[in-house]
Amino acid sequence: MMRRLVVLALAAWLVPWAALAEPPASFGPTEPMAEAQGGFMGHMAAAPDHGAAGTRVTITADGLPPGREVDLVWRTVEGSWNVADGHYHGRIYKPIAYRIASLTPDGSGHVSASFAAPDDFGFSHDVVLQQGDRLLTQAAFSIDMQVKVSPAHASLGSPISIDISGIGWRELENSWMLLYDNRFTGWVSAVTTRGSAHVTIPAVGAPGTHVLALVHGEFTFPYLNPQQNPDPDRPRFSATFTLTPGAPTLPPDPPRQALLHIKNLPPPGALVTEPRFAGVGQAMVARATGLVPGRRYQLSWGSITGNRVTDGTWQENSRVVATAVADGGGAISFPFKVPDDLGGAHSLAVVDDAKTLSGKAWVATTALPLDVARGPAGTTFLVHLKGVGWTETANIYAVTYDNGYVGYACGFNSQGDVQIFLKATGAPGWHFIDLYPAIYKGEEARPNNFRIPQLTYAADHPGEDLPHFRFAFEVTDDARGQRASLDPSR
Amino acid sequence: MRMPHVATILALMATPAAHAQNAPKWFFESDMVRGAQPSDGPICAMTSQFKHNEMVVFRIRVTDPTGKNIDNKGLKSLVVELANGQKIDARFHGHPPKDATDFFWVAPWIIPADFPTGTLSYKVIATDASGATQTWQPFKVQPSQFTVLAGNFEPPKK
Repeated sequence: MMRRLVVLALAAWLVPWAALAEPPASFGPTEPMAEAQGGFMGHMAAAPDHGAAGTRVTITADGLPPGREVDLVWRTVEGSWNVADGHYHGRIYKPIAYRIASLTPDGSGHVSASFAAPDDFGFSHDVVLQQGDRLLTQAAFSIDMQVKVSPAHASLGSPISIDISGIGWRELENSWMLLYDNRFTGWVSAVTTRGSAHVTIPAVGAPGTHVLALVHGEFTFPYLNPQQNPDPDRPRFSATFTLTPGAPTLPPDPPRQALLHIKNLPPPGALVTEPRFAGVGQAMVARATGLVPGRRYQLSWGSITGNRVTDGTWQENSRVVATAVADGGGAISFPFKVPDDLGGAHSLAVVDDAKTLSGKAWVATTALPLDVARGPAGTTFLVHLKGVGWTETANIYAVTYDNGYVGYACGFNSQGDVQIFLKATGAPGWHFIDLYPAIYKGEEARPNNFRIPQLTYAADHPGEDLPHFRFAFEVTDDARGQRASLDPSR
Repeated sequence: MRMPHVATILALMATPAAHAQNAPKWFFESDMVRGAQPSDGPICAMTSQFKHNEMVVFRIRVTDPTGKNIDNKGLKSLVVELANGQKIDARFHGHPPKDATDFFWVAPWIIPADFPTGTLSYKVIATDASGATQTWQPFKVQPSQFTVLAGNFEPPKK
């Protein structure tokens, strides 16, 4: 069996880079997904038949109808996440075709053309010649995955960037797993990013050489012997990174790591909040107009309560969080502190005699500082989040310790409050704890990416726009503080 | 890279040929597996992606509305037709060949070196003794469609 082990050169310039290529939509207008009628006409070849995005591809075809224009078309898919009403239903890949060029076969039925392979999903794509909705002939071109790790040298805690292009969309091509020094860090998706992914992890460990690897994993975790699989040709990537001595790069204070902008907020209704989103305990004002001047009103805050464990049900309740009096023009402002509640959208309502004004408030996920940030190995410390959500794409956070996956924590049953007690481990020095968004569960069997860190959360998380949090703990070599915890909850 | 494929086991009533109003109502199911070429590789492993010179085996079961397996006495021919017009005759026999545990139609075919690469749809055409035909197509789901990859199949080395 052919075994593809791609050892990455550390220098990025050795790798043709997809960022130089254009997306497939830049080819031209979309075309129908043509089908053959009574078989193919002519024969077509692509040279080379594979390469990185940006590779120059030459198409030649013979046996076509002379003098009749044909369209050269690139076939691909558009990816999207299928989430609705708090549930995760999987991924959708919709076939789409773009016209590369219109060609006219010469008198012998021959055409040729060349184009740059687009920045697109990786692996096999059909390149077809068609007239309208009739497919004449075709050839495949496969986009090779590319992985770039940078920088090659950095000190403890510095960000290591892993940029990947050419991730596929089919089974066994679309679920990639990152390893750091043989520890599973998390998974890499590229559903809505057309095969591209960007991951940043901290440089951890002792000074010296560290090894990163990217392998496929269809079922939650890395699959380590793909060369012995019935489909043995999946690529594997590895790269070395040198951690240099020097002052550590420590993460910002956790409260400062909350998102400054949130994508895809629900549209405001008649009740508009200022700011549009805020964390638990932060100030918010809900405003509306059109009310009876001088009348006092109550602002109701909607909240989901329940869980997916005991009886698998939840319900929406509401409570009053503020009262105010409409001014002479019928405008009203309700200042209030964001309740200690689940992250995500909350319904707001003001009931008038004849109508109900409604709106949406958005609770952003935030993090508190560690309760203890240094101590000997074995020290218990608390990672504390507020405003964790309840949907299947927002109700958990997955934890890594020095880039090794530890487990996950859920915030639904505790109304968005997540408290994770961890033990400090490892050699004296700084250690890094990362909390990544993850998908809790859903209607998807392949791939299975549930309850593991989604390293590509920033650009490709299904559903909500969620933050990642990084904490640092300094293990000291002072054993005087070591003692068994008497608190059973810890 | 090739992809195991488990999706095309289907049980759908085929569309009768337009001219055969009294055509039998057959049901079809089908998948694709890797053929038994001289190797110790993954024979009969389900997949939808094959290379040139590799053997693809289309496996088809035809049943009547009562669930009875239709064999070569019930059908005059069963043909797999690819989108490019390539036709492959299917045969009915037991599997595995020794001590068979199941009986169905198979259409083995070694993909020629100059065969078009890319995804191709296929259909199955059944013809009975009277000449009545019935055509069936599996799902047109792109990830699971029959795909010919560039490159030549190389039997695994021991």
